[in-house]
Amino acid sequence: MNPEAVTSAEQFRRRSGILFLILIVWGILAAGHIFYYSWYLREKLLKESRHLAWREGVLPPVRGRILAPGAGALAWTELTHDLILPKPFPPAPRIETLIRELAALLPGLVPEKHGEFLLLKQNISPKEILIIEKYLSRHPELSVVPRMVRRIADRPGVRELVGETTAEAESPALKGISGLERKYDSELAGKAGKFRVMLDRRGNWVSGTVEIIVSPENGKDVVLPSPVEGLLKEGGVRR
Amino acid sequence: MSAWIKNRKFRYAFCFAVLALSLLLLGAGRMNGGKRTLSRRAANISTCRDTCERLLPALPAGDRAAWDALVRKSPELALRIGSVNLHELGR
Repeated sequence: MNPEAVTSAEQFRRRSGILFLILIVWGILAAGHIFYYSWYLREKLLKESRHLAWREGVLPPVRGRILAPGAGALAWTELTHDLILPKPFPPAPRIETLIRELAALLPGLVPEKHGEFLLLKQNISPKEILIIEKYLSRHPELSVVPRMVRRIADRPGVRELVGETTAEAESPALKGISGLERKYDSELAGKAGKFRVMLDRRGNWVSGTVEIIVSPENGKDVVLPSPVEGLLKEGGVRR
Repeated sequence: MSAWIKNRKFRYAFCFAVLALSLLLLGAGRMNGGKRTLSRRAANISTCRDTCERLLPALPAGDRAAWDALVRKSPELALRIGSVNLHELGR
């Protein structure tokens, strides 16, 4: 037997042994790593990831109508949407690019700077939202926000009788502050809903993850007990 | 035992059995998980549609058909543009 060959075989066995040992150590470390994250830190990491990925939002209710017998609706709510760029603003060249690209999709875009946001288009219609749908999903920095406008029948004295509403804090939902709006506020107001959604790292909603936690309830319509003329007379006496 | 291991046919059969079992387990897991995910996703989208449809009477008459189309095509976008105050969950 060649002594050199024996040495090579011995060397091969030793090297294989070392390699095998390294693989075993690597395997043990990998198993330990998996065990550490999937069992020991599992709850903590799940909690942290839920906190990072999930967001909760509010679904504002639509205020009910005020109806008068024989006169139809005296006050009703109209829902519109605005396209905005909220703070923090991206760099100026990026804003210019956004405006240029959006103007190609939505003619008549007139950006207007407000305190906390840049108003890109007021009263954007659902048809226009459908046009920019894909653009919106690619640019999560843009927002379409709801706005509720209280409309009042154009009849003499009705505006004073119905009274005024104001938007609630951080919500477009309306609250009655005077007149019939205030008197029947509990019926008209409705209840806000609550939902939960998962966001990706760019801030886009992850499809299929929306969970409605509390369904919103629109406000009820209020039918006044007597015709408008009678109420206006009563109001006039009180005024 | 050692005679079994030295038998090439046995080794082939053993590897094949392990592979087949792994594929079966993988397939079973994917099937159940997939079904659950699909049904949950469909339920979520249906909830979005229902929630957005309640906004229809508040839209100007001329925009209702387009809103309906938006809700049907992209219910999550419709919900997104009808929502406010998106905030982090409390710890």
